Amino acid sequence: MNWRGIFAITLKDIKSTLRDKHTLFWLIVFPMMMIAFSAFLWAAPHSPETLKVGVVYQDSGIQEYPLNATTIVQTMKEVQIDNQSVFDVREYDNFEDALKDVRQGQLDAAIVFPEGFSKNLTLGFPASTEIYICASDAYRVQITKSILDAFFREFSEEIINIRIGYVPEEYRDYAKGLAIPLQTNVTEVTPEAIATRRGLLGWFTIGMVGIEFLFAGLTSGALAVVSEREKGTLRRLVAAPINSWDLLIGKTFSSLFELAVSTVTCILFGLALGAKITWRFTDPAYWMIFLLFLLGGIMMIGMGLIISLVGKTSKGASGIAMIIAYPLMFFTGIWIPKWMLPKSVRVIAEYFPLTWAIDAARDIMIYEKGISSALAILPWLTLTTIVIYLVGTLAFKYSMKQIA
Amino acid sequence: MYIEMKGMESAVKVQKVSKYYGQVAAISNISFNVMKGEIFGLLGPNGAGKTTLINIIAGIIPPSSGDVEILGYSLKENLLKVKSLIGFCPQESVAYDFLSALENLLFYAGLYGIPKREAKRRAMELLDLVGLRDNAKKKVGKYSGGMKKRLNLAIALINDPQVILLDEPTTGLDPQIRRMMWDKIRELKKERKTILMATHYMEEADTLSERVAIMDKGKIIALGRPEDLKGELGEYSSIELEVKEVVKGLDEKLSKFSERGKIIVTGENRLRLYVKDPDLVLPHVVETAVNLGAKVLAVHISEPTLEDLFIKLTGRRIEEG
Repeated sequence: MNWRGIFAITLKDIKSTLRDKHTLFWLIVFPMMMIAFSAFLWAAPHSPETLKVGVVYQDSGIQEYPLNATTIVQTMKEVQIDNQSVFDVREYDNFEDALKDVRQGQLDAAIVFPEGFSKNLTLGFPASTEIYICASDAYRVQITKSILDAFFREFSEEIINIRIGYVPEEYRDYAKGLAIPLQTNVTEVTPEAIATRRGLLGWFTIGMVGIEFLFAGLTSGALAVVSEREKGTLRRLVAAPINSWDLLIGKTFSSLFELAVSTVTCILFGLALGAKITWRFTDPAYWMIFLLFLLGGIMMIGMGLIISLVGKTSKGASGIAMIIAYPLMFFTGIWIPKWMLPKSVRVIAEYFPLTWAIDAARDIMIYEKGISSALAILPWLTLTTIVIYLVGTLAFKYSMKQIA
Repeated sequence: MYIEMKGMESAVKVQKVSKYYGQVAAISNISFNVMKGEIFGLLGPNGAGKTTLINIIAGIIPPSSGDVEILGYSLKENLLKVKSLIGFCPQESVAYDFLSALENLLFYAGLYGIPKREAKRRAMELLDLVGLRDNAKKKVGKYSGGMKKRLNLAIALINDPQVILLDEPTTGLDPQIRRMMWDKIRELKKERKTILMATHYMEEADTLSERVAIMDKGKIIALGRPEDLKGELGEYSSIELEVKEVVKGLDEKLSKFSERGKIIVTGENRLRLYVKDPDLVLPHVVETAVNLGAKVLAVHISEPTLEDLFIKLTGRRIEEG
């Protein structure tokens, strides 16, 4: 090994990175932007939803009965969460106009109070309404349905509680059982990381580290030989008394340095925005993170070296790296949570080795689960890293021979 | 072909070197020696195999057969040792644009394992030598083509090599800068450096080299001192006639004036003939051409050159390849 030569190559490539504004943008500014956007878009506290609801009165008995459709509509108008109205109610003269607005997406839902509604509501008979929900997308339908369900359920309970006052006390529980034969308690379960804004931001911060490994690692590996060949310096490097291992190690060190700079930038910026990222000097689990990131980085550089077999020019090689990196960004669970991925795609996330490293880092730094999850994946992560880097080495040696 | 200079020690021994790409021979069975302290020129058109041969001698690509010895070390057996003895200056710029000249030299010094202090001293000396000291800290990206070529030469010398390989060292340079580079190469000769220089510039090979190997299609077709090689043409001068169009029978009519061999058509509209007394023959040559209906555009008379020898041997000009 020519360590002075390796150091010279590493230093030269680091200077190349630090003096190239384009590279610095992708290594430092881009991840900061992505984390900031994530904090703004996804990790921001959600404001309550306001549903646009149209109401149509087809009931002629509104004036006759004290408990009528307008009582419900008036209540809807007054419901607030965090000082924000839950319903934006518009009253319609006829059903057709309301339905038209639902179809055009002007309303989230239209509620029709049919003939006899007020009478039934006042006299204790079943009173039903017709609800038409704008089915623009499944997510929106779910939100609309759950808000309306919750409102009507609560309103029904209030009415039951009033009516039950007229029932002799010893029959009240029985009567309540008849009125509400099935009571449901809905509990929403969300993944732990996104339970808080800080946790969610921490999750995305580590995700951004993974994205940088994916993009910068692949690209730097892919360009290791190609860029020197394109500049015309490869021939001169090969004429120097260094072997291909020296060149490869120098290139790998400089690429790892780039990834380290980007990783530190991501974490510091995430922390500055309030991300939940923990660090405990006395806990060996946290020191394991260095190993996880080192293996992840070497693996991605190795993959990049394999790409250099196909890309004959800098543009070609970085283009191929991007074509591979972009789908992986979405399908590997590094940037998009696995539970949000379709089942078929989730397989990729389960078996992509960089995801193991990133997930293990999240387990330690965000979920504070200790060393166990890192130890569980470490043998496989190490093995796949060695295999991928070795194949990359062969690709590198082959590319080196394509000088003449 | 194997020609040695008596009484001198070889610095570079090229022994039966061939290089094949598939079935195609880039160079075929080449042998020659370069003596210590000698400037040896490899002259030939583009595609003659000069760069392939230089690449092999520099240890960049392995030969398909044969071997090269540098200062007694076999390339096959001591690749890294041989590389450490050679200074290599390729035709393309090897300096990184984002580094200064000094940083480039320090980088290459690192590849040769030169300690930092020694590297810095050597780098400053070389910047002096190539006249770039004042621009030592300027980014190479802002250098002119000539400055980059000079820096290339400095980089080739960073390890204080005994053997220097120059691949087309002045290609693309204007005549003034080219002559400046020639002066630098002559200075290296004074330091008893052995220089092997590939070039397709006939004048460069003629002016600088003590011996020249003329290459064509992967083979050495002539080797010797430039004056000896030119002497092979005898005491003949060449008359080159440039006509608008080579009319039918013109070359046949003019060949009777050519006192050495057949008239050579060097291009679509150029004819060259060799004569002992050009002043006497020239009027007859022009008259013959005009009488045949050829429009004479220009006439050049010159002493024999290495290019004449190349034309004699191949029927083509070096520039034509």
